[in-house]
Amino acid sequence: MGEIPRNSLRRWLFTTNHKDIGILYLVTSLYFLVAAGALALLVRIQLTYPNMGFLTASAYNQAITVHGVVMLLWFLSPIAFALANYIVPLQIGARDLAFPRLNAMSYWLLLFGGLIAALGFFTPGGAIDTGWTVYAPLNTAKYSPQPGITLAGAGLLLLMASVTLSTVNFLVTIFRMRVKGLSLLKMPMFTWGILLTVFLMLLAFPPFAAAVLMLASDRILGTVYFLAPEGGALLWTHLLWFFGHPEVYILLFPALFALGDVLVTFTKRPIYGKKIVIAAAIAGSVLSLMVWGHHMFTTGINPVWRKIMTVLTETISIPFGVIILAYILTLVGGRIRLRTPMLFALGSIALFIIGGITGVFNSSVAIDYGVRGTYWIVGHFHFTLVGGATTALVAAIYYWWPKMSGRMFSEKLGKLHFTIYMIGYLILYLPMHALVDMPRRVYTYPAGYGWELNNLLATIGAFIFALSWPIFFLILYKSLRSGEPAGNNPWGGWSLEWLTKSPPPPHNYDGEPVVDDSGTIRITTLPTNGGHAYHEHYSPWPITISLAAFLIFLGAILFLPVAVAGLLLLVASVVGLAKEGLAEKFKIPEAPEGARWPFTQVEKVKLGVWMFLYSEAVLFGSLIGSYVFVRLNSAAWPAPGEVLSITNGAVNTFILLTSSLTAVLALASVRVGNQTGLKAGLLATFILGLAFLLNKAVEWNEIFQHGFTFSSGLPAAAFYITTGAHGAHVAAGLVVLAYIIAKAFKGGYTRENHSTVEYFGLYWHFVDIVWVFLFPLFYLI
Amino acid sequence: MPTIAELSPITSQWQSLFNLYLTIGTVTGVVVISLLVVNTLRYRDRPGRQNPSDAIEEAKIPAERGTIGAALLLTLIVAGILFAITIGTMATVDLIEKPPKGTLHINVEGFQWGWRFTYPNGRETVNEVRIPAGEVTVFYVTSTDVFHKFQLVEFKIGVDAIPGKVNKIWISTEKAGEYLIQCYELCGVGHAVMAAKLIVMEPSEFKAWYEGGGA
Repeated sequence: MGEIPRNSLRRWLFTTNHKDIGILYLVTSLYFLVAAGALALLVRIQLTYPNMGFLTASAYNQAITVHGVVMLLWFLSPIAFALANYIVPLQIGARDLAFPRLNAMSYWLLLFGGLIAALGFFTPGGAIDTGWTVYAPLNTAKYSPQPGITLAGAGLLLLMASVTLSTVNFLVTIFRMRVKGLSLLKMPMFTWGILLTVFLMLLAFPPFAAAVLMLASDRILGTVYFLAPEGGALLWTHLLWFFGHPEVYILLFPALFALGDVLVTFTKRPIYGKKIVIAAAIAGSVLSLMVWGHHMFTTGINPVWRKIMTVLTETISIPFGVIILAYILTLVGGRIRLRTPMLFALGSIALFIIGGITGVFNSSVAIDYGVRGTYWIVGHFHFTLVGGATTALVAAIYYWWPKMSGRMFSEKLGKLHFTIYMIGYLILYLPMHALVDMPRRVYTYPAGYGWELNNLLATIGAFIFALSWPIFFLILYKSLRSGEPAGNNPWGGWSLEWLTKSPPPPHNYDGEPVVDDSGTIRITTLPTNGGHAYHEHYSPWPITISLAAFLIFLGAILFLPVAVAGLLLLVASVVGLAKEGLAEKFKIPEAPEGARWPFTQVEKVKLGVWMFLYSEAVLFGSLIGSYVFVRLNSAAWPAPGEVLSITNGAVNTFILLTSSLTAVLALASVRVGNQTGLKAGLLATFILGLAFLLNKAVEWNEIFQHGFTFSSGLPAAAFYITTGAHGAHVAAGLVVLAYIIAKAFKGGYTRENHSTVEYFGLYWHFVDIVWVFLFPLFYLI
Repeated sequence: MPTIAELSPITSQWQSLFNLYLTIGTVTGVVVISLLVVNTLRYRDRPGRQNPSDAIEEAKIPAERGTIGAALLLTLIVAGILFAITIGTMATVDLIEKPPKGTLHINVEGFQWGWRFTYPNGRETVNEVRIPAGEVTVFYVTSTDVFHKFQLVEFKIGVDAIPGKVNKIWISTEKAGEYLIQCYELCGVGHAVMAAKLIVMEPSEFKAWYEGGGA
């Protein structure tokens, strides 16, 4: 695309600049905050007195569900990514993220995901109403036939695609694009927080993606995973909470580590024990993957396992206790300036302490027998996610606002905002802790159980708390209109983002930032050829691909012709993207030298492919684990050879493994400059891949004829979903391969320059390895 | 309303465990938040206050602070508090999960939206269950449709009702009277009204009701 004026609408639709995308994320997440906050107010109005008639049961259930889902996934996560997008490249001295177009796609997928989920409100039966945990089998079409739930599932799938792309993007950016001299340990706290967040996302999201994929299949194709009494309900809880618990830390880390930067700047002292804080957070991350059972204490699962989960969950309080104490020690001996960002930071720590302590109660399997499903739990997690995370993110927005807008805001109004926020907050959430025995998620409650006063207080608090947000937006608006110019470094921070203009130019730095051995950061002047200056890049394809995905899901759920339109748009966009790639229009320069430990020898795209395959491995691991779980819970299962032909499976295994071999031959050929070998190898791989898919189509058709259909039971559900997901990966591989073949025939790969062939090979081998697991699991045992 | 101690051994033990957590939690919270507030006030910027000796500077990577010894000390402090409460948990959980012998067994089925109770003699009731005072009653809880939670509200105890799975929970109370059973896991539009009456009767009255087959 040519030059686009900076104040046009097209700029915002086609931008791939990390700062523009950061602003898009910020505006979008604040919009979702207001929407989900309004729903919370409706909920609080309904609960003001016993037996209120403001909302119906159905409207109430929709309100709490959409409130929860949106606040967790479309507000807290994206607002962290808003700051991460804007600030992380600046903090490490990069020109942009490693893959700017993927980054734009992350944003658009998130937005369209939110829109498709919101469409549920306009369909018969309304939006998703199952609670954000979407427990099985209430989530199946049998008990909740309304399209609102399927639409929300589609929204979640788009969101998870967005998250996966972001994860890969930030990992590669942080590992590969730091300026020279900025080792990992020297990075500012916030960048550390994002690094840990995306690592955790890479592990925690794929199991949830697997669960939602299975649910979508249950609801659209009629498979029966979650309806099955052979563990369907428990399977969902396992997958959901394996994701759900780390998700808490995913939402918390960006906020907790942004606090680190705010504390350093406003106390004028280094973080007490930065390494200790980071090590504790890593320990907390690892533990967070092992404690999901504490959400399942009352499901009757193995008692020994429950006790182990109790101990592990109490252990997880240790690293977070250490982090909070380290933060308090940071204050000691400092010169603390109580400006607005610092007030919110301190408020956040105080509220997080309370939320952390009430969390310890819930780690006890004995206490959980009583408090599970009560307002005590609602109070607890709002203290961590609103009190801890949201308050800290408000601090972070105030902290980086002058950098993003170039203007200061009113300190007086900021303090007023803080006061109203804290008063409203405490009146809203403290009384919930006194409702230890009141059930949550009920639209009405009887009088006479001592619940009246605390509900009334919470509703009053909710309105005061809600009032604090218009004040916040007013402060930001006034600052944009008439704030004092901020200058480069209004707070006296040390890190790289404060060394450039506010707001920074599109290429971030007028020169190359470098950290020397003494730890001093300098911006060197550009080399005379202007070598690494970053040019603005626009691409229309991220938004059109995301829109196409939106249309395809919408069509599949509501009205099929829309899906056809989406498919056409997808094909056109992918072709457009491929042309952009063939013309090599899009190249983000990497500085010739930089801090890249521990991936000094790994090119950035390769690193991206590795990270992506890692999340893919977790996805397939979850699908296979689900199959094993239901199979162990089932009394009967078809014997090998009874439904699926072993010969057929063996032939397909042979075909696919041979295609790995031809892919290796293609790479070996291009390495020695043999173009014929390259083309032959690639073509053979393509033909074998196609043969695999055709053979599968024949097989599916045959077993369908014999009554082994989508809806014929658990064995069919497990088989079609798992091998279907694998088949989709083969098909996606073939699309990329078609592009590579086109480029190969144009002579696009040479002895020196053939990395795409190599990275495709990594993906292709991965897909083959997955099949090596699937064949014995489904055909032989 | 009866006091907690009169309700059931499970409930009183649960309440004392909760109180233990509450005491330790409150003390910890007050101490830590006081540290936060006191240090903020003590070191806040005032006229004449100097920069600390290791103050951060613009465009300069901050120096490192803190020692491993300090980290270990912090870890031990937090771990010590947690150890105390974990022991309390383990004792209580055994009491909850291992019902004493000589009991009345009642099968409970949750459904959208109500509770069905089946007695050993085949007697069935819906949304109302009668049990004798002073004896141990074990509920075997499952669901015929979606995920529910069977909660004995005043007793502060409950267990999930899951299709394809049976979970048990027991109580024994001296105090005759009427109590509330309520679903505590969102199960559809009827969730809020998915309640049942738990009627605790004097043993002789219960015996007459149970064997008489009357309403």
